Amino acid sequence: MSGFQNAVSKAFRAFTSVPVLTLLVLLGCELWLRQGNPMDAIGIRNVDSWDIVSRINVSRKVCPQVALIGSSLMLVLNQDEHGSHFYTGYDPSYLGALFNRVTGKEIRCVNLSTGLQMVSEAYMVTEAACNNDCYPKVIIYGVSMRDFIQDALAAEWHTDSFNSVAPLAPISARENVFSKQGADEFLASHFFYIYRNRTDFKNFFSVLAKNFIETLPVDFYFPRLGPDHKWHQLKEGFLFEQWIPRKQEKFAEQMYQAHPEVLRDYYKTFQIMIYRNQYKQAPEVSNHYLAKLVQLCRRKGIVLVLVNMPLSPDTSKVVPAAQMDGFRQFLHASEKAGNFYLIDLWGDAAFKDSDYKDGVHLNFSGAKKLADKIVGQLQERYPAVFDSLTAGEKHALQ
Amino acid sequence: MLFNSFSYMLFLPVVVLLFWRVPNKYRPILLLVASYVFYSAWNPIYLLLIVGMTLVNWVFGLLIAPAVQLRKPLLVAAIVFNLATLCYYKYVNFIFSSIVELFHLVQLPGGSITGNGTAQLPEAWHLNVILPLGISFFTFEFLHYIVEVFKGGQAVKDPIKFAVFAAFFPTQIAGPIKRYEDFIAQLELPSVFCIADLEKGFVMVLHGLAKKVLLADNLAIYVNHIYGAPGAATNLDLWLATYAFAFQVYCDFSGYTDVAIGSALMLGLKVPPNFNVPYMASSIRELWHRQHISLSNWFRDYVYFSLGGSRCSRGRVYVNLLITTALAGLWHGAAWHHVMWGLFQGLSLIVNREWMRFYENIAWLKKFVQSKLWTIIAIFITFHAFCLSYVFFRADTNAIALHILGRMLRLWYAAPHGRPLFLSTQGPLITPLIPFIIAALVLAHILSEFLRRNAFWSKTPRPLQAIYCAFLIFMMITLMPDEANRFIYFQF
Repeated sequence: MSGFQNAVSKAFRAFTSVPVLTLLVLLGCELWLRQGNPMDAIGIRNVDSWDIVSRINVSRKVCPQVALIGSSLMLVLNQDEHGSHFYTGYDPSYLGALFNRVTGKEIRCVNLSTGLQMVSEAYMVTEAACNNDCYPKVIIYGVSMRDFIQDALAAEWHTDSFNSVAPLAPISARENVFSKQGADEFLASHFFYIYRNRTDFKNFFSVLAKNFIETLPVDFYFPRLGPDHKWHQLKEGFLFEQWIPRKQEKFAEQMYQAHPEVLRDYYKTFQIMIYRNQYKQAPEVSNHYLAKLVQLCRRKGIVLVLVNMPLSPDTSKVVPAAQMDGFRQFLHASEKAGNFYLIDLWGDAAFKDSDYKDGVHLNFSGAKKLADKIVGQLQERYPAVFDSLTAGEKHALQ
Repeated sequence: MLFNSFSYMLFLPVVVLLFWRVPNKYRPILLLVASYVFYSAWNPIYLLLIVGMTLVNWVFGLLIAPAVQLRKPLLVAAIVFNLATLCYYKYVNFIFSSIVELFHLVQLPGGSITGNGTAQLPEAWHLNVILPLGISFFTFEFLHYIVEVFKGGQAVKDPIKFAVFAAFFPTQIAGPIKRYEDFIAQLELPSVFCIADLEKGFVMVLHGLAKKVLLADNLAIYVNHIYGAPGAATNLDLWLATYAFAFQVYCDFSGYTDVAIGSALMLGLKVPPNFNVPYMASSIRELWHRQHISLSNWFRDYVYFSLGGSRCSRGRVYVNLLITTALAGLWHGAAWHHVMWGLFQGLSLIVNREWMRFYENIAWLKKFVQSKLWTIIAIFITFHAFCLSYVFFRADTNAIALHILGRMLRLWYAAPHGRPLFLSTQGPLITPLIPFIIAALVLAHILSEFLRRNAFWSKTPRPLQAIYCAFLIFMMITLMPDEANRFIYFQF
């Protein structure tokens, strides 16, 4: 065999070796996962249940002047009168129309909020949205005290969308991740969808295992969301792993129409549970990410507006007043330090119990009221925000 | 550095790549640097320990080899040095605790015992000693080297190669315990790249990691659940948890060994095997020829034979067995329940010997013992005896172990407190799946013996091997716990 043939033969053997072929198979899986989320298609809770990746892609494409971030309390700005887009969608059309009216120009808004979005996620979503030639000029961030005290969600990778937006955020964002494990998770998720999507498959196997286990003579069924919107040991209903936003939206609307008191009780109990727990690390983590968000906005020339979100008067009663006072003082002090503009809607008398679907999330009319309040207060107290919106419009449209 | 960490996933390919790129003469240096980097990743200060012990043993080897009159004193000094170092780091607090327990037992002042029956050391007695990773393993390798040189083996002159022998990163933390003649001989020869070895090593590494991440770590959830509160578990649960623990240890340690052997093979080096489907053994004696083989051989060669081995009276042989196995137990952990575990092995070996003596003289029984039916029965008995011994290994104290054993042996009373915990959806999700997982592992154990005999893997086409490897990686990523668990044998 000639030297050339020998070299070709060796190269072929190396190329078809088990490690190389394994990498090729994994590469195939990686490409497949980048095409879409197979677990979402079959209704399994997954890393991108809140569809944040496609919303960020929309944001990058349309170059909105305004982006909304925050939890589902802000997501409700997308809803229509039929309850659609209560938890889904990306277009806060009523808010956008208000901005258009005030500025006299076409202002594009994109809602990048996700369910239970923690400050770490809000920061990472902003990084991802701004990792583009054009990016929002104003970011309106709906915060609530809960985001600063939930220890269970202080770990970044336990949140719903931290890992999902990691591939879209710049790699430099890793330096700003609070914990070492969070930084490692970010790095792995940034490069590998196989890693990023691992919880999807874990949930899938979990559903299979639970369904199989229930064929055995076990003591209880696994908890499922029952028709009363409470978790029970039931044979029928949604397992947690199958409880995805589009199902939540449909279920919540049906419940709102038939038994709104059940929804209110559920969320009130949930709020009581949140504020009953003692917190340890969450404030430190959340403050870290808020500071990083402020830095990012300064660096990019983005106007950051924080909205301290209201709860219904009835649900507000379960929130510890002294704790809330401290939180509000912190926000006002930060505003005075020039970190952001603040719209503090906590305890605003305009929001009645009837404006809420469940005591926490605003209904269609309540969401309109929220949009009116945000735009109204910006006009009244921070008119410069509108100048920022229109000043760079041409640039944004280019 | 843990084998089941991202760091190692990056470290190994880089070392393999560099190893095959640098000229042959520099490869031992590269291996040494890599091994020290690997060790430093845990705690850089303890690098001094392994370097210091290497240096001292290398010098001892060079002195013992040519010595005539001082040969024995030098050997004794070397053994004392190694054992004293091991004792200081591993056993000093255990020795003090045992003294306190003894004081308490004979009602002398100073003997204070905590609620769970363990000794409460006086503040002044408690030494804040951290057990250096792998010390039990590399100390045993040093002892083996010193004794072999004393017996006439060649001392290693090259300090780099000797240091690589002691610190070789795949085997540094949890073995297999290497034999210096085999290992150094490999370093002396120019290594030739063989793609088949690289592939084999790659598959072994993945296989080992899968055993650890997919099986051992998940079995541990159930084992910890039951052994964490044995009083709340039914007798049936205790049996299941003990079976699960037997497979957890096997998957954990044989998984580690597979990664070690596979990593070495990717570097063109062969290290001794450590496992050979142990739970298919038909006697406890055979089991120890299939389980942690390198350690069993070490204790046989350097403890059992030194005590006289089998070339003495029956009673003396049994005493030798008990001493050897008790020391093997103590090696596994500085606690009396580990010693009890060792003694249980010794007793099992004695029973096995007595049984062999018994049936030798009864023709029909001897014939039956050679039948396939008896082999199956014997495998069943051996596995269960070994599982029972594991209760001492896993329980926190001997008292708890005896309590658990007492309950497990009441076979007629499987679930005295009502429903078994494994039929509950209230605990970890894996709990109700445990009987199926154990059944699958038993089946896999039987199958793996068959597949190995038929060289199934080497006959499998490479694309299929690749799909299997990719599947393993995918499943490990999906099902791995949030935080990497240490390998069980790291603590030894």
